[in-house]
Amino acid sequence: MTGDARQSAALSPPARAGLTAGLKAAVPMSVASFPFGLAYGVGVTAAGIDPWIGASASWTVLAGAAQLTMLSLIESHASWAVVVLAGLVVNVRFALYSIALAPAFKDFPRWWRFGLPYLMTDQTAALSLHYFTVTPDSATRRWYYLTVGLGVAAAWWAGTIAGITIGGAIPASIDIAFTVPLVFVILLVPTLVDRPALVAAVVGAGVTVATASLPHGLNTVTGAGAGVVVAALADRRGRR
Amino acid sequence: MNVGWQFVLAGIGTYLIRVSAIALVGQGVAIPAGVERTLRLIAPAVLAAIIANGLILDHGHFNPRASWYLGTAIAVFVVFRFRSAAWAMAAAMLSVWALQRVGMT
Repeated sequence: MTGDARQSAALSPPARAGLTAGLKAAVPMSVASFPFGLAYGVGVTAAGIDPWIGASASWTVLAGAAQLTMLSLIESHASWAVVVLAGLVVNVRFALYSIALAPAFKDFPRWWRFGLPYLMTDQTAALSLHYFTVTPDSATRRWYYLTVGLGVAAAWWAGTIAGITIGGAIPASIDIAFTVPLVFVILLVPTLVDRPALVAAVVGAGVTVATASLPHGLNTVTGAGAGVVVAALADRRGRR
Repeated sequence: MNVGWQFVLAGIGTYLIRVSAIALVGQGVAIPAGVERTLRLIAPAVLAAIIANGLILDHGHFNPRASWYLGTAIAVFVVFRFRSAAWAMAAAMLSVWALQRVGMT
């Protein structure tokens, strides 16, 4: 048996299709996750905690915005309950992705259904939701999600380690902070397919800015929730 | 509490949030008809909220940065016109770097 034949026996054609499409989508996202992880790693070294304990959050929490929020609270000596709660509040948006992904995940085998959510990030969820609209095959879908999820996570882990070890060597002239909103802009553009989606985005952004004074990133959660509700109501009204 | 354990606790809580609806629907809880149409609004709303928080605000305060806005416009154009996330990243990062070199905020 040749190597090729063995490989195709191990991985069905639909699985390979998902893997290939996932790799193609994961590369640009990983290129973006790496500097974001780097920024977190550099932040850890400045926070005055054990760098490897700080880095461990990239495996346990695996969510950049929440980790940066928690780090800034740890830095200002907040109590452990405030630190944990603030991290969870920033991550409440994952419940929305969970709802959106649930119909597709229903068909996945149990281990996939409970394992893949660990790899849920904004990038993986947004790319997968888009991909699922054009790909009905369940095996292709889960291999796509797995590949994108692992690609983004691996870049995040590598960036974190680079940040705590060689972070200080990055020239200050490179604006690493800009990579964060930039990634989300690139993810947002393909989701703006019709008027309700556009309303959701405009309201989401507007309410986030209007509620900027809310603590611990609550404004983002409020903005996102308002965007979904207002756009859904406008959509229902428009179709009546 | 040790900082590492704070991350472990937040990690367990975050996993439970991530798996929440996926687990419920897997157990046979049905998503009501009509709600499915709303689900596709979630991604644009969440992404736009995060963008606004990072691009217009800075730790909760209004902080416009001209180079970031131009870089964002270039990224939107490249994604829209050429459908390439990698080229959009490269073009936007390079233009922000160049704009800041010539003194733009």
